[in-house]
Amino acid sequence: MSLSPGDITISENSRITGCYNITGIIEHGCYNITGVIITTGEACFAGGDYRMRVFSNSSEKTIDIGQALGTMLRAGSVVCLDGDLGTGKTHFAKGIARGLDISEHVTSPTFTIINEYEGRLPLYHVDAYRLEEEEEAYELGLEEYLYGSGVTLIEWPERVSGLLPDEYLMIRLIRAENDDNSRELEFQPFGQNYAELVAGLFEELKKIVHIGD
Amino acid sequence: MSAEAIILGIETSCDETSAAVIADGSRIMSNVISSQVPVHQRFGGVVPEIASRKHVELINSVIRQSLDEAGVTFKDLTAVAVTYGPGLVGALLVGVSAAKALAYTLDLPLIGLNHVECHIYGNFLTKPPELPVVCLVVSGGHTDLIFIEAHGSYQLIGRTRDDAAGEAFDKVARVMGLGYPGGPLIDRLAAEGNPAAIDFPRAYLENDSFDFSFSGLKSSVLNYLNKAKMRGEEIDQADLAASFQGAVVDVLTDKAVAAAVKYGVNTVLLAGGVAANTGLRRELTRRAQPFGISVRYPEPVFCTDNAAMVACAGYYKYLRREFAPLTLNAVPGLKLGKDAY
Repeated sequence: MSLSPGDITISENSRITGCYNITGIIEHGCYNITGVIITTGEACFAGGDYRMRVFSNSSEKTIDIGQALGTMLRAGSVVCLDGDLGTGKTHFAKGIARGLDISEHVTSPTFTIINEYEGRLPLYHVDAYRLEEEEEAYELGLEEYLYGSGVTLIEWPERVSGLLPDEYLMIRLIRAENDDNSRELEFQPFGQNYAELVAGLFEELKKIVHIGD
Repeated sequence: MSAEAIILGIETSCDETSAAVIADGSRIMSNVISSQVPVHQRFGGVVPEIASRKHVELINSVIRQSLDEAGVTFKDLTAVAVTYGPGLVGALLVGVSAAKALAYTLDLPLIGLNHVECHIYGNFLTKPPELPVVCLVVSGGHTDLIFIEAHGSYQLIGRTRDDAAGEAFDKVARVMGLGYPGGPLIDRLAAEGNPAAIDFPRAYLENDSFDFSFSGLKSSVLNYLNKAKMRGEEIDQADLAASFQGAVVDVLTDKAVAAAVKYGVNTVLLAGGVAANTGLRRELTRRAQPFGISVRYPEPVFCTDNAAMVACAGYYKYLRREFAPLTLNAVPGLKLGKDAY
């Protein structure tokens, strides 16, 4: 199926009843969204792999995308940020903070492991890079953050994968091959709530780029 | 020994367990640092749980040794000073608990200090500079420009918006395969390289901003390494180190000198672990000189975390009678100049 900019198609998933595939490309000098598959119905998550991919060609746009997500997060939300050094994890975190009405500058938590910020909801910005064992994260009180009343954002989540709740949003930042400044942001929801969150985010990003003008 | 204020300083905010005894803020009677760097080296960074456990194991013997080396007993102490933030909560708690226990049982004033404040006072240990000054605090967790008008009066005029300078050194050293801690390794390598070999970007941000940003530079180094790898080119590690360090040092020195000029001070202080960087010391001194600004920095041993600077900062707070209650707690996100007790 070939798509031109602005096209969005919604079709019923042939394999799983009650699930829909949404596919589209938005190209408006800003964002480029392709291959979105949003589903409804918990059964969909049993065997499926559903992801939304968003392209950003600058750190400012990465912040904008983070902000769109930040405005939608709720108390107890858990967001994992996976990506190599220098792919924009801190920038994305800045955006999330903006979306949570946090005015303080968000800086890298690599040295401090956990930074806390006050906003519409508290943001717990965790960098698990320097944790060697999950027991260390446990000692650090990570679980209290995860099941607390704020938003927990975790960089290098694979270091604490055993402590993650059943439902969370995984975001991967991937460096584009031919362009130093471009990144692919992949959103993978785990659980119904996060699938709905990604569906909502898709709508938000459509607004940002004025789709269909 | 009469009329002397003998202060025990305790520091456990990160990976060093340290205790020091200082008389009148400048006579260093002892400064015991039980560095945990060998423990952390294999992890490529500080591991907090290990840090906390090591602090607990070491704190009593480190305090004991600091008293023995100073030739004093608990009875000779005037006050107990301790770092209570910012830092890792588990690590901070060890020092704070020890200091509170001592202050309570010995009936001594307890002095709570900000870690960044302590780094600044590393410059007051030998010949205290005259105020006002501008201080550049550069370490693994901080890159702050601070205007200090009087003792205890701190105005944060610039800070990093993403990575701290020391963190940029650590991360670049990691991708270069050099090891940890990255600062001294890059500094040593840079001395043999050409800082003009690679033109890395310098982030000056808005015209009048004293803030810093090092994430763009970090990305540029990564991109440079990736490209060289794809083309199968050999990398000159010394030139890369020198060019990276040159980019960091340029921005740090330009902003520090501009801040000193704007705030009309004659002295710039360097503090924090990166203050031990020879390239930074040399360039800042050279560029400040035409403005009649002198640059001061502590001896390397007082740049990295140590309790002598804690006891020294504690002394000036002792003179102001700014004591902490025994309910003092560790505050991981403590802000400079805003005591939280």
